Amino acid sequence: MTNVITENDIWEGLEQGTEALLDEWLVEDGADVEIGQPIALIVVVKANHEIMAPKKGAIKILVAGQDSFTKDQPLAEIV
Amino acid sequence: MTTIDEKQRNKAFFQAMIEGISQEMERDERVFYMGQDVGKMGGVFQSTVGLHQKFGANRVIDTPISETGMMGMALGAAAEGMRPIAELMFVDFLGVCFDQIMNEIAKVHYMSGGAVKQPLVITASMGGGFSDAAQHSQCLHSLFAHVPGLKVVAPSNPHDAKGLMMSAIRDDNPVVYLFHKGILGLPIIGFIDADIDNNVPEEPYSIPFGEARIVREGQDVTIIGLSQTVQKAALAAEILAEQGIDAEVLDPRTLVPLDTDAIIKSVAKTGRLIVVDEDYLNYGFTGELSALIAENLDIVKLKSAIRRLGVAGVSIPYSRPLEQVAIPQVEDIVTAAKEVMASSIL
Amino acid sequence: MSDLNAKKRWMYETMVLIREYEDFLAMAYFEDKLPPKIQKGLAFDIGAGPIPGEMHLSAGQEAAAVGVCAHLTKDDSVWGSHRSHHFAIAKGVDLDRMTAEIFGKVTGLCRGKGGHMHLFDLAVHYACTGIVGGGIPHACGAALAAKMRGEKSVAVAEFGDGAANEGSFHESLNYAGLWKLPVIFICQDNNYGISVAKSDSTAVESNALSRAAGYNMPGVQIDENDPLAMFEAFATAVDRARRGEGPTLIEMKVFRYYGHFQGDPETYRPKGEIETIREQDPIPNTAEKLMAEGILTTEQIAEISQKAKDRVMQAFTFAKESAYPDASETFQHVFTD
Repeated sequence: MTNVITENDIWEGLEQGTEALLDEWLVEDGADVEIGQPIALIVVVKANHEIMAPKKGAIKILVAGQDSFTKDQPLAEIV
Repeated sequence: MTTIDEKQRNKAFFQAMIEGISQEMERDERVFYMGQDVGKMGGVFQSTVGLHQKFGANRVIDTPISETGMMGMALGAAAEGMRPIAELMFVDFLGVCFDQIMNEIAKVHYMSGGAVKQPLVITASMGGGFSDAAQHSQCLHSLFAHVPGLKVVAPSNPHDAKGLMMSAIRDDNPVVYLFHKGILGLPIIGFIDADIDNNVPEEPYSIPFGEARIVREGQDVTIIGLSQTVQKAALAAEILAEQGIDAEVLDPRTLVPLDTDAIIKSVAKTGRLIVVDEDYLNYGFTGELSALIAENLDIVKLKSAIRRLGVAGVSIPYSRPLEQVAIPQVEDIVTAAKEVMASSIL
Repeated sequence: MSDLNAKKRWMYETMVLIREYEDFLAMAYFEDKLPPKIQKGLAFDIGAGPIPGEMHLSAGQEAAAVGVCAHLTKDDSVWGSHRSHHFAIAKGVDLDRMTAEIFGKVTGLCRGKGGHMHLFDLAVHYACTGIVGGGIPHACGAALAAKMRGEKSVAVAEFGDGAANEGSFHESLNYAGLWKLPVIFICQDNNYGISVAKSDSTAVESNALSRAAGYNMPGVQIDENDPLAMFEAFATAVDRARRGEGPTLIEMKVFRYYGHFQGDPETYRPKGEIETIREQDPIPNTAEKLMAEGILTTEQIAEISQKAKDRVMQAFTFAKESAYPDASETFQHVFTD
C-alpha cells in the first residue's frame, strides 16, 4: 500500500498548521490508476497543483473533495 | 429501450463559463478572446483557464493595459466579421474605455442604419464583499443597460453561466456578460452557493435572452435579484419559509432584453415586490422594475409598497464592518420581506 | 555631516524602513486567510483576516521612492498607484495612520474607507489610486495649480511600466510637454503588468528613450536599481521643473520582489528570476557603498535596521489596537457641506 502525499516544496514559506484545499478528485474512489496519472487537483494558497498517482493500483480516497488537509497528510492510499 | 443517465454534472460557475467559451471557439474559428492576463495566466479570475493552451496565443490574446484601444479594436474586428470577446478585468475599469463602448460599439449598428454589425461580447468581473474597496467592487450593470444598443447578461448560477455565454457569443449584437466574483466558485474568494442550478450538461446549449427563471415558486412576495443577489434571495427564501412566509424568487438572467412578462405575472400573483441589487440603488435596476410595475397597475394589484434594496448612494467602503452595511445581505432581504408582509396598502 | 551625506543616509534609512514594512505586511496579510481558519471549500479567503482585500507590495522598488523624495518638500505632491507604499513612506505619510487605514480602522488616514490602494495624506500632499494610470493626470493637475499660482512646488506621478500603455499616460505627457507643467513622471519598470512581461505589452524598450521626446520632454533611462542614480537624475529634473522649464520622464529598472498581489503564485516568472534579482538587492548594495564612503558604520547599519523594525512594530500595534469605524459612518462623506 502506498500513500499519496504532497511534495514538501509546495509548502515552502507557509506557516506551520496552514492547510491546503483538495479542490477536485479526477478519479472515483476505488478506481484503478496508473503511475503518473493525474488523480487530483489541489490549491495551496493561490497556486494550483496536479497530483499524480505514484503507483499503479486501486485508489482509496482519504481526503474528500472540498476538504482541507495539512502537509504530510495522506490524501489517498493506493493498494 | 434505452435509459438516459440523468446524473448531475456539477461544475463551478467559472468552469461552466470557460466551457461555453471553449465550445464556441471550437465551433467557430472567428471567435477570439482578448484581455489582460487571459493568456498563460488564465485570467485573474480564472475566466480563461486552459483556453490559451488549447487555442494558442493568436486566439487567446494578452493585451497591454490599454482598455480604450482594446475596445476600439473589438469594434473594428467585429465590423470586419470576426467575433471578439473582450474582457475587462474588473467592470469598474469601464471608466477607462466607456467612450468606445457607449458612443461607438453601442451605436454603430444604429447609426449605420443596420448596415454594420457588432457581433462581440464584453466580459467583466463584478461585485464586492471582500474588501476590495470602492474602485474594484462595483457592479454597474445598470450603466450598460441604460445605453441603447447593448445587451446585458448576468448569470446567477453555473448552468446559466454556460448557456448564456454561448448565446452571447452567437448573438450578432454587442453583449455585456458580467460574472460576479462571489459566485465564480474560485477557491480564493468566499462564494455563495444556494444550489440554484449547478448542473452543466457537457453538450453545447444556449439559453435565450429575455427569459427569466423562477428559482423558487411562492405565493406571498416576489423577490427579484440579479447575479449574486439571486443566490442571496434564495437563501433568504429558505429562512422565510421556516417563518411561514412563502417567497417567490425570480432571476431575470438578462437585463437587456428584460422578461417583463414574467416579472409582471409574478408580482400580479403575489402582490408584493422586493428588488435586491448590488449595484447603486439610485437611477438603476431597482428603479426600473419599480417603474415597470407602476406602469402596469391595471394588471398588478399591489398589497404593499415596493421595496428596493441596493447600495444606497454610497461608494463601497474598504473597512469590513462598513462594507457589510453598504451591500445588501441575506438578513436585509429577510427583514424587508417580513416588513412587507406586515404592511398593507389595501 | 554634509547635506549630501545626510541625504544619502536618509535614503538608506528610508529604504530599510520601507523594506521592513513591506516584509512585515507580506506576512501579516496571510493571517486568518488560510485553512483551517476559513470557509470550507476555499484554499485562501481574500476577504478574511485583519487585512482583507488585495495587497500590492513595493519591496524591490524602494530606490525609486527615496531617490525622488530626497528632493521633495512637504508642499510637493506625489500621486501614486496601487503599489505605492514605498512612495507613501518616503514622502512622510504618517506610518501609524497609514497602517490603521490598511487595517480598515477609524484611526486610519481615510477612517477606513479607502484601504491600501486609496491612501490620502493631505498634510504631505500624497495620494494614490487603484486604477492603473489613473493618478498620472492628477499629478498634471496639481502641477497646473502650482503654475497658475506662481508656486515653485512640483508634482510627481509614480507608476509602472504597465501604466505607460494607458491612454491617460500619453494624454498626460502631451499636456505636460505642451504647457510645460512642473511635473516629473517616474516610470518604475519592474518588467511586469501582472503576468505579462514588458516585451509582450510595450512596443518600445524604453519609454524614456523612445516616448518622452514624442511629448517634447527629456527622457532619462536608469538601468541600475540604485537610489543614488535616481537621486542624481531627479535632481536635474526637479531643478528644471522648479525653474518653469517643464516636465521630465524618468524610467528606472526596479525589481518586483513579491507577486503582483499577495498570494500570486507567479507561475509566469521564469525559474530562478526571483532569486537572481534578490541577489542584486539595492539595500545591502547601498549599505556597502555608504560604508565605503565613510557615511555609515556597521554598528549604525545594525541600529538602523533595529530602529526600522521597532517603528514598523509600533505602527502595526497602533493599527491592531485601534477601533473599527462605527457602522453609521458608512453613509457619511459622500458629499461635503
